[in-house]
Order: sequence, then structure tokens, then C-alpha cells
Amino acid sequence: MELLGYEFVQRGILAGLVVSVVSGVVGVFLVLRRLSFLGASLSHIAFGGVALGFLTGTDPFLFTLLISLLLSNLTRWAMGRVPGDALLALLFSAGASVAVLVLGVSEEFGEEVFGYLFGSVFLVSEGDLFLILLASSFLIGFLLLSYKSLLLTSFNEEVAKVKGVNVKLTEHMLVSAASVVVVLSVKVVGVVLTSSLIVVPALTSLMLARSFLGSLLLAGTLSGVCLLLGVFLSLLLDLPPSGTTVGLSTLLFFAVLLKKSLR
Amino acid sequence: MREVIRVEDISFSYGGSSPVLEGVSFSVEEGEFLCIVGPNGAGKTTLLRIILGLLKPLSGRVSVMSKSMGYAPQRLEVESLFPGTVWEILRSSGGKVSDLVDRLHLEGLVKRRFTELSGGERRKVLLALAFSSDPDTLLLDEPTAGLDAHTTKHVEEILREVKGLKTVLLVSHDVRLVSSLADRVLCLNRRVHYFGPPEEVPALVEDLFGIGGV
Repeated sequence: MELLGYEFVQRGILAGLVVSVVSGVVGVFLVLRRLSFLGASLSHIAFGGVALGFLTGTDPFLFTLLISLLLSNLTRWAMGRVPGDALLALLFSAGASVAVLVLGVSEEFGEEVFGYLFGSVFLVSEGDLFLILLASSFLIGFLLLSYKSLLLTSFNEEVAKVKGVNVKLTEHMLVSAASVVVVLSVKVVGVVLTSSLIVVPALTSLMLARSFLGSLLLAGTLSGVCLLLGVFLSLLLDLPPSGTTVGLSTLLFFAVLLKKSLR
Repeated sequence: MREVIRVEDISFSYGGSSPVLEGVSFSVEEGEFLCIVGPNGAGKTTLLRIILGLLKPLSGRVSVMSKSMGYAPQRLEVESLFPGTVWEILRSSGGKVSDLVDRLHLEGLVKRRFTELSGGERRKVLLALAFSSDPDTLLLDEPTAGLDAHTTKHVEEILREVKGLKTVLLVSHDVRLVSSLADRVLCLNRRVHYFGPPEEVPALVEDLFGIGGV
């Protein structure tokens, strides 16, 4: 536990906590809008983006953010024209294929790129932490400002439209928020587990909460608690923190599901 | 009286199938209570959804001069995991929730998740949703269908209260309700079969559609 005294560990825990809370909250909206798979697709796009960033010598974080924002909004636009699930599957493969291609062209930075596959809170730099705090502040601001529109859109799209909500704009904002969350999460839990960080606490909270606001608060809390427990367990048992965090979160989900099913 | 809705020669079909609406034209004046009757599949709900801008007609034009509209759909698809309570939904849609709760007797429902409500309870909430933010025009799609006698009577009282104060477009199969509330009636079965005062409606409905109401 003396590791907790190290600055990189404290920084990692703070970054992980912020990202997990925001991911859990945004996850609620994605699950309710049937966009759960968006996280998985965007994380693979982010993987391709990271590889391209290294190849072109640009900041992988910002490069990935721009690509994710562009592609998630294009996907949302195309969803009325092409089946949404097929489109997300396409994005998933496209992102992975870009990463594989880039790694095939140049093996120079293979280790760094592969580091993004599984991520780690302990790899968060000071610059990463600054970006995570900045981006998370914007996300929280967006969620507060759009709360009513997001609630009505999650309830029923047509009711929201009649009540004057610009549903298309709200959804574009939501997928943009998801892009930011994914890019932040990739650094903390890696490409493979990002989608779980977004979806699993949200699902658990939606089964337990008695109100909409309650589900958001519970998703953020469950996600944050699982992250903290995951990091402490990983330090105690020398396990990877990302896998431990998502593993705990998944166990919690199945425990709640079992309890609900036995009622 | 000022016109608040004008529908001019609109036609509509779902995905290129046989037309649901053909050459439908009518207008609604401010403060008018218009009832729309017709058999199942006559295009009544489609017509309301076109007026609301949720569907685009294949041809023709709809002009809405009303400042704000409230809509109570016949049924609503909501994700089963949606955790929002009645209070949260009404609060997000604008207006004073406590007034709506008093007016529609929702006291026992406000703290419950919408997805846990029965069909009749949901219908009451949808009606409250239509009234929230105090719109000038109400579009109500069979608001009394599936309600018990006591609630139906209460909804009818509310409709009588708003008659003349708001513009109302009411879809209903209840000929008794239509005859007692409507200023004008639109008999629809893909085309407009009748548009005029309610006096002739019971006989017309029987003749045209073979239905006698609830």
C-alpha cells in the first residue's frame, strides 16, 4: 500500500475516478437510446486513431478525439439511412483494421500502441490528467445544460420533438459526448474494456434506480466505487487495474441481475 | 375566427404501400373543438402525426399557425429500463407539475416509474403531458380508450373545461362523446367523407363505417 504515496498512483486514481464516473453517467443515456455498442465501436476507432497519431507524429490523444468526434457524428447521421447495428459493426472493424494496417507498415511504436489495448490508470501522465479534467468538466456542463432534453429524448423521441426538443442536435451532442468519454476511457482501461466501463455500471443502475436522476447518480457512483476497489485490489494482488475494475463491475451486474430474477 | 391549422390536399403512405390518406383537406379555427372519427386504419393517427410534423406528407401542405401544441398519443413505446418517474417526465416537459397532478388526479402516480404503470395509468400521464406547458392547441388520440368508467368521466369533464378555451383535435370512436363535445366533426376513412357539424354524425358513422361507437 506504500505505492499509494507515489504521485503517479495518486494521479492515476484521480484520473480513473473522474473518467469512470463520467463514463457511467453517459452510459445511462447510451443504453436507453440503444447505442450501447457505440462505445465498443468508438474504442476501436480510437485504437486506429492512436496508431495513426503515432504514425503521423501528431498527439495521439487529440488526433483520436477528432477522428472519434467526426466518425460518431457521421454514424449518427447515417443511422436513419442504414441499420444502426450494422453501421456500428462496420466502425468496429474499420477502426481495428486501421490499427493493424498501421502496425504492419511500421513496427517502431508497436509497444506504445499495444499499450492502449489494455490501458492502465498508472500510465496517465500530467498532461493526460489535465485533458481528462478539462474534457470531463465540459461533459458535465453539457449533461447539466441538456438534462431535460436528454431525459425527454430517452423517454420517447416523438414526445421530445412535440415538446420542442431538437432531437437530432441532442443525439449528435450525445454521440459527441460518448466520443470524448471513449477517448478518455481508452487511456484508463484500454480499447478492449472501454465499452464495459461505459455500459456495465449504467445497466446495473438502470435495474436498481427508482428515478432518472437516481440512475445517473447511481451509475456514476457504482462506476467510481468499482474503479477505486479495482485499483486497490490490483495494487494488493498485483493484478492489472483495468481488468480488475471491469471484472468487479461485471460481477456486481450479475449479482443484481440474479437478485432481481429470484424475486 | 382565426385559422390555426390548415390541411391542404395531403396524401400519405407508409413505405410506398397503399395510401393511408388521399387528398385530405380541412381547416381548424382558434378555440374550435374538432373531433376526428373513422374506423381502425382510417388514417386518424397518421393525420395527427402529420399535423405535428412527425411525418411528412407525400403531397399537399399543412400550415400550423398555433403557437404551441400538446399531444397525447394513443400508445407510446418506452424502453423497458427507462427509470424516469412521472414527476420527472412532467417536470422536463415544462409547466407546473403540481397543477397537472391536481387536475388529472395523478397524486398516487407521480413518484412511480412510468414503465411500471398500467395501460390506463399511462394514458392519464400522456394526457397530462399534452396539457403540460399550457399549449394553445391539443391533439388527443383516443384519450379515453382503455380507461375505467370513473377516469373516463373525469377526462370528459376536463375536455368540457377546455372547450372554447383551447383548440382541440380529438380522435375518438365514442360517438356519444363526439356528439356532445364537437363543434365540427371530420369523418375520415383514407379520404374525408364528412366535415361539418356533429348533428348528423351518429347516422353518418353508422352508414359510412359500420360502427356505432363505444
